[in-house]
Amino acid sequence: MSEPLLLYSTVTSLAYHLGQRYYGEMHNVWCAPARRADQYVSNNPPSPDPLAIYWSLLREIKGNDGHSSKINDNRHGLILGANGKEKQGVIDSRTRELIEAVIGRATINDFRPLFLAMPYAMVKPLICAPGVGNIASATSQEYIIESLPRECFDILELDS
Amino acid sequence: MMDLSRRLQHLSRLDFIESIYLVGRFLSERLSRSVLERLLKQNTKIGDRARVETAVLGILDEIEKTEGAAVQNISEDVRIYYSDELDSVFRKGVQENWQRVSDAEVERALERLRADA
Repeated sequence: MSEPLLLYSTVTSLAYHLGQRYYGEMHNVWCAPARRADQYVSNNPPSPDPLAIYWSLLREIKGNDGHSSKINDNRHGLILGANGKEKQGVIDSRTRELIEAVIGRATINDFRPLFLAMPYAMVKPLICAPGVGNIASATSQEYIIESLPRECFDILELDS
Repeated sequence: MMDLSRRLQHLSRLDFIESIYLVGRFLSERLSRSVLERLLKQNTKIGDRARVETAVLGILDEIEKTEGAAVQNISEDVRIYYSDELDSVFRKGVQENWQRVSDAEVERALERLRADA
């Protein structure tokens, strides 16, 4: 299989701004190549597909009924991430407590999705593990980058 | 109604956070049990892998037993119900740390983050 030109990821606005302000402009992302149009070439299943995640998050935010499992997951994942950053020595315990309180207080609009696009050649050395897509299916592609510098990606908002 | 917190009581704070995160992902992404077991091996690198694995699989067993179905076959409404229950357990378990930070400081930090947007 040839290497993709670009990888894409969906993160929440809160995750992005925490990375920018507290983690030295470094970001932890799950990313995947674009879906292929060719019906004979396998696609990522919906769960690891960044575009599907983007629209699904946006729908949940616009619905705003206060019950979103994806936003709950994101909140828990961001708090887990803050604890990981403390363990790595990136932040101290006081900052971790502040970040946790901020995540706990954040409203649903703070979780609006951002779509990231990054050149594969630039981020290839930073890929640390295949993601759940690779576990879920032998033919899907997903990657984890734990420390992605800001200069490696563009941000798109697909809804005005 | 099952008590989701029962299997999380003896975990360290970090293992507690990681276990709830992983159960939540399993529910919302409707992962198969074999995928979850492989995900656990790959992802539990922050807390204690064995303790997290025992807690996560124990909670999922209880949910599946209560609902009489594998998670992939449980309706979205029911999965959201469990996600909200887990969030409630999560907040009770971790928020004592949050209370050490003043409301004013949290608001200032949130405003700064929103201003960056």
